[in-house]
Amino acid sequence: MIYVKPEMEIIELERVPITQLSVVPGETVVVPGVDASDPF
Amino acid sequence: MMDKKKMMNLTKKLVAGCLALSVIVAGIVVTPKAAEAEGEIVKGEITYKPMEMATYWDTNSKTAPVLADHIFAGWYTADANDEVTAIKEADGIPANTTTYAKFVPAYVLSVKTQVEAAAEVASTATKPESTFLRVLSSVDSEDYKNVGFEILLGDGEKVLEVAPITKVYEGLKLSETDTEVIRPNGVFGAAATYFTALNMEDISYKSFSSKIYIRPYWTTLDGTKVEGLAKNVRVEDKYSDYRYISVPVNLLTDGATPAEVAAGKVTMTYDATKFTVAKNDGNYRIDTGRLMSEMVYNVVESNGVGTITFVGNLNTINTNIAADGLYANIRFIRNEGYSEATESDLALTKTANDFCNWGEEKQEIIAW
Repeated sequence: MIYVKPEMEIIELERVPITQLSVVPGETVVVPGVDASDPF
Repeated sequence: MMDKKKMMNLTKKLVAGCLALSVIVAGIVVTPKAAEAEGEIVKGEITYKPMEMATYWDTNSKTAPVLADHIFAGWYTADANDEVTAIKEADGIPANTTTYAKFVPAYVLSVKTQVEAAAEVASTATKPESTFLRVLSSVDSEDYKNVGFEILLGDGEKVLEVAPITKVYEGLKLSETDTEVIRPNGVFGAAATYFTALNMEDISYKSFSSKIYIRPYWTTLDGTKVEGLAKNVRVEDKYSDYRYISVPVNLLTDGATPAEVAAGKVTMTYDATKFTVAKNDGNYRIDTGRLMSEMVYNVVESNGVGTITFVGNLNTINTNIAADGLYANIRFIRNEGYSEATESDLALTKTANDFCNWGEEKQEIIAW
């Protein structure tokens, strides 16, 4: 029987800084969407 | 709508109540250019006002300071050359340093909308099964954590879930083939640098005449959520042959905390040769805002001058309400022959100086 010792993988989680808004340069057509299909 | 006599009686009662304690200065409300007070830093239309951050901010509770006709846009420090730096939420209140509240003109955080060209006609033959409504607001810089929109559908009973947005845009087109590009400073004003945008997708034709309430907000880098100028829109407002213009009336206040109102009056005049207020069943119909549930209003169009008087409110006369939000929303119709007239051609003249709180103390409120 072979025992395999799993290697402990340590992932250094990068602390995500609170950043500014990101600017999309130039002229944009597609922007975020939200479904508004139900009649209201 | 209340009949004119009852309304006049209510108006007299309200105004008399306010007058009992202070003189009402009725006048034309204009957007004042911020006078540079001692210690203020002014950059174009943006003002950095020295204020005590600790009065408004701690790690668990953050409120926005207010300045007439402006929207709070974050806490800043400044160096000896008046170069300003945004304070990050994680940094907390800086020690031994003057803190500045940044204020931008209120129009920056207001709402405009677009629909696709196919929906811009009202005739049944060409009306699409569904369309999208593109909702726009703006920011003056990238110095925000996120931006977004509060959207209520119909009479407000349905909330559209919208995730916070972190991308902003220099310019927008409606389609790849569209040659027209819109820019934030052209749509909102000089201090608007980038668009914030959201598509409300697949709106069924059954909802084209339904009310959509939209209020933009941003979260500053110090973590304060700030709400802007709200508006009611309808997809059919954009039908070119209906000739509608939706004009929101928001109440803003000047003071350390939002002033509280129980009642008040706003009078507006407009050029009735070019515009009329939309009617329903022969009566003028104006959408009540979200501050005062049963707005009373009266519309008179005579000798080329239209006058709208709002009196709010019968049910809140004994309750104070923070004056911060949509008071009413008028739908104007461009008259025949004036199909090209725009919102700026409306030249509304507003008088809104006689609000009072429950104690009948006069409150400085501006209708915007």
